[in-house]
Amino acid sequence: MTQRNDIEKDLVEICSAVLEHPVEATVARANDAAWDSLRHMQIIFAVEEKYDIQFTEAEIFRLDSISKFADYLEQRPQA
Amino acid sequence: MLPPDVSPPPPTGAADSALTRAHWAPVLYADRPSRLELLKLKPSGAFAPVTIRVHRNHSFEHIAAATPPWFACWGREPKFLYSDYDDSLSLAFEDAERADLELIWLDLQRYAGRFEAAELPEWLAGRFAALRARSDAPIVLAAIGVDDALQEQLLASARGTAGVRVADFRPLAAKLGARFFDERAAKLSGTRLSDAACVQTARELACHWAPGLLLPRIKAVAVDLDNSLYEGVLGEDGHAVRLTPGHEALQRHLAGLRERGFFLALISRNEEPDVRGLFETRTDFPLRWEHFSATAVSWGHKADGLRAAAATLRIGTDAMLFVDDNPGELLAVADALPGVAAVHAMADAAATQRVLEFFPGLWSWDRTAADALRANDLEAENRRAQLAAQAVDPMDYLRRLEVRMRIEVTPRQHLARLHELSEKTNQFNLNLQRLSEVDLARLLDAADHRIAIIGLQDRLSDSGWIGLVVAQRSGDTLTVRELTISCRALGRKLEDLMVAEAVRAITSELPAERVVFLHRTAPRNGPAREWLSRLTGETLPEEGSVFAEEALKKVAAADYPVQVDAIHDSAQ
Repeated sequence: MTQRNDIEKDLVEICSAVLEHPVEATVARANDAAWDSLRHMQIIFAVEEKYDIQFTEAEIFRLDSISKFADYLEQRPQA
Repeated sequence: MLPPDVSPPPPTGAADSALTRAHWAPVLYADRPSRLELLKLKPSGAFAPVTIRVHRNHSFEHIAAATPPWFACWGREPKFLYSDYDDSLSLAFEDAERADLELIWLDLQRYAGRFEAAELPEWLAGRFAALRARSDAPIVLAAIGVDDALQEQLLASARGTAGVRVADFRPLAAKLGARFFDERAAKLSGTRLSDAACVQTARELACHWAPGLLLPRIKAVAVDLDNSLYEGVLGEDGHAVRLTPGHEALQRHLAGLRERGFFLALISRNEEPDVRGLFETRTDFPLRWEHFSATAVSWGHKADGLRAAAATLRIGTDAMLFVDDNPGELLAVADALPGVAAVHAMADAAATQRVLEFFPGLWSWDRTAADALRANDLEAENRRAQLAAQAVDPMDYLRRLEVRMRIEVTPRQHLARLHELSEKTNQFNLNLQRLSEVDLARLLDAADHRIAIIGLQDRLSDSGWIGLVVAQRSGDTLTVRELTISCRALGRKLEDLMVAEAVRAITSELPAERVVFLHRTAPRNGPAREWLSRLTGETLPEEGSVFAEEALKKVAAADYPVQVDAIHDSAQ
């Protein structure tokens, strides 16, 4: 299992780069105006690239915060 | 290789810009660039804006978001203006908002079942014309869902409107295979292109399509030798320097650039006999000594070598790209010659090759016949110089050369070459109008204008189309608005005859009592101004006009041992 702290650190880096401002691990689509649909897809693509995974359509809709991404990544089976 | 994770300072000068590009190169020119790594590159500094208006039927934003670091490499900051998703291409935009580039961004799958096979290209041809009527900017059609047959039809449909180019997605689609599309993302991102395809399309736009239309082309690639063209140091390893597979491919790529009309120059700190000996011995090198149109092999400063090579090639140093493995040399050149573009030759020669493949100004939409002729023509210069030394006088020299001159009036089929001559000629360019393809197409159709293109050939080489005259008649006066002659054609002292014959060909269609040349001063057009001053005996002000009909009358073809052929409206 990947350590949650490491995952959150990666996700904070990705979200900060995509949203173009520093974010905390608490950031979510609901609480950051810069997290629009365009940037949501860029975050999705960047996380997919980072972890070499591919989300399903349902997951793309559902994963809308660092916390939810971290839960997903922490619980996924490791290759 | 410089570490990609070191954040460079914002570029403030040529040296800083070169350093930044070297830092960014592993990300920008990766075989498969990473969106995540791209997002970490934050261009900073003052960049000139480039406005791209996107007429689209699917999303472009994911591509646009990845482009800024690549645009920053040629000093531009992109601004995108978007249409709604509009299959009908209704061109609903404000005319007042000027664009530098009109991008028609289509997924042709959306038209499936709506058009018969031949109807779609025909309909698009109509849309090109409608857009051209409202914008003089270059138009690029970038359409996905195109097979080989349709690509040819689209190219044909673009030929009817000046300044339209058709991007070719087939190489990228073949490279990415099943990863070119991502139907899963289509519902959410507004395009069925995958993220990888979006990122690499961003690189195509920023490194090929846009600079291929908006940036003057680089004319010469100057390369270092040791640890750039091979692995090793000639002075230490002798002829046993190592040609790795990557360096072999890099040399082949450089040889390919030469075939596409770029001059190659060799700038090396070595002894010239040693370097010549290396090329003679290493027959496995794809590059030969003869491939270099200029060489500067000495222990002097490389900036001096570049200046000397530019003088030999009759080009400005700002039309050169310098490739060297030593960052210190790159920085020294950038400081001494800020206009010279620089590429860091990496230990991984394949990476260096990718930088060259995507370097702005090294890619062109069209390969003109002039591209293939350029390097051979320059090589013939040395033999012309030998003939000139043997000749008893200038006319004897021309007789020995067996020169043929060809003038074509209204040469519609040479629109791309006319544009090159107006856009790229610096030294013999009298009025620097920098006419676009759209401008030239309009002038070819204007009743009060004539355009003549000048070709030159001798027994040593075919120089191709090397001169352009654009003239307008008003009343009894013909005004030469644009006059350019390629620097390659200047050594034969035929400028008087070329211009006089071109003007005669034009006045045979637009008779005029008086002939006036418009001129203005630019940093590098001294040769053109000196020619006009000598021809007319006038001292030229910074900018203005000079009557020259009497001077031109004195230039008689019969006085030159040159065969002159004039052709009128060659397309008819």
